Amino acid sequence: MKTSFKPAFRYQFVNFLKSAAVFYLIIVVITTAFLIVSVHFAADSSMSFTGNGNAFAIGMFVVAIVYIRSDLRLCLQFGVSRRTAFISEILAVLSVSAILAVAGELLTAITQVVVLSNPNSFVGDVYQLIYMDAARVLPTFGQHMLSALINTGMFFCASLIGMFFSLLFWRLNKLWTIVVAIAIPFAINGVPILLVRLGFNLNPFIEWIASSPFCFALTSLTIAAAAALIDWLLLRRANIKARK
Amino acid sequence: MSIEIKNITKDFGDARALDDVTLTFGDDKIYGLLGNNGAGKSTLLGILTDRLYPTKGTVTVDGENVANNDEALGKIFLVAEQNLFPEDMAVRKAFDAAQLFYSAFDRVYAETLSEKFGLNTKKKIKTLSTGYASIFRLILGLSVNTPYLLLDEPVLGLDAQHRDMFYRLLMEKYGDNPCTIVISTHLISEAADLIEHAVIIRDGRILKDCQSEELTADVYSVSGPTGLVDAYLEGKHVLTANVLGGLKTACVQGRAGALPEGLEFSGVNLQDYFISLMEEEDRK
Repeated sequence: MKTSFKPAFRYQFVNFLKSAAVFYLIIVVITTAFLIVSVHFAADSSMSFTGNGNAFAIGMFVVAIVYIRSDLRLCLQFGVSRRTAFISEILAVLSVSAILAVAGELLTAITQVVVLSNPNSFVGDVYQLIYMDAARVLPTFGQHMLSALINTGMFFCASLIGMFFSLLFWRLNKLWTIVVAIAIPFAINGVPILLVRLGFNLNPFIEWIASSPFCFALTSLTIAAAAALIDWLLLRRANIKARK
Repeated sequence: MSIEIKNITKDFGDARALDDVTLTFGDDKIYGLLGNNGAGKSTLLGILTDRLYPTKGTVTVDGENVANNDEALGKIFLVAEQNLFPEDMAVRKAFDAAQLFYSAFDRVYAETLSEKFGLNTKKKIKTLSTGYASIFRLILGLSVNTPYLLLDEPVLGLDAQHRDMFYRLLMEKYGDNPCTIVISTHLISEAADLIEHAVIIRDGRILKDCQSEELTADVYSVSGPTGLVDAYLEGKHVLTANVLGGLKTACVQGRAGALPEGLEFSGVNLQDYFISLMEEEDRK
């Protein structure tokens, strides 16, 4: 049976990769600015730069919000089924997440080497903060790879959550859009507090995640899988319409 | 080789856009999908291309269900009123994308048509005027070479010269490479010569589904002094009647038969037939 997966994946992958590249360049500029500042002023005060992973995750979240609708529209215009379009979108996001994670790791590694001589400057990422106790030592190649693994999971998860919000608001009418938009910040802040108040102890789960980068990656992938399932449920019967 | 629509119903909230529609678009024919505003034409075309999910029923293309089926969907190209292309995409990029998705896409032909219509391929789609946005979509439709081409209000915003050009190009394409074409249009008189088979839809239901000639063959127009026309019309199935001064013109369903003195008879074209049918439905 003929499938349009290949062209759909190629189109979506290039789209995501271009956006990720633009975002990467912005981070490179910010990192360069940090390096300049740290070289000139770090003798007077301590400086740290640990935001690459989180910044890329937010970037992928936003890019996924934007692309899921336009990619679906174009795919449907060009005779690609919504299932194929969705699967190829997920795989495109996963591929770009992995590339971005490795590229991000490279940037972090270079920055770490540059600031190594300066004891007042610290450059790291999520992995180093959680699993190396923010140690001011250069991670090994293996540790960089583990960092790339958890970042891949994090970016992938953020992208699928981005798709979820995009598809959710696509399906809602005006009234429910307002209701949900107001409810989301309350839910994000309120649910953890509520769980604690109800006596749920989240510490064992947090400790489990902190016990190994594989646990972190597994958690990200589990959330991503759940988001993908909900995304598909939102999409499979959606009316694909043009932008207003 | 056909698109088969079986018992399709589509609801938008409380409103029923399509009601148990069953229809077949057969092989290598030009169909006219005709109906008033809100009749359900665009909804039907949206369902055929899986853009809209039917509440009930199935659509198959050459025996394959279109839902989540790349093979079936890849055989259909819909030139719709709505623009599904990314806002910041340039015409040339859209051609690149079409080339990526359709192996039979004729890029050279698309470029040639762009030149012919004066479409600037460097322009972004969102910056095109209504007419040129239609031209862009038509060029894609004429160049993708799919076995089924669906055209929803294809000449929207086009001037008379470009409309004429499009109809001629469509006939050329059909002559060179016969395929199934479905034209949904309000400009019936312009497209009437192209349409071999007419499907008339109203309030989400199929009113007529037959050869255009069959539709108009059984309908004629009679005109003359009001008294004479009224006498003639007794017992006949009158679709519409208009009186202007002392003259009455009526559109009648059936065979004309013997011609009484003082009355003039003429055939009706597809547009006149459509208007008569709609007026009759309005009266119901």
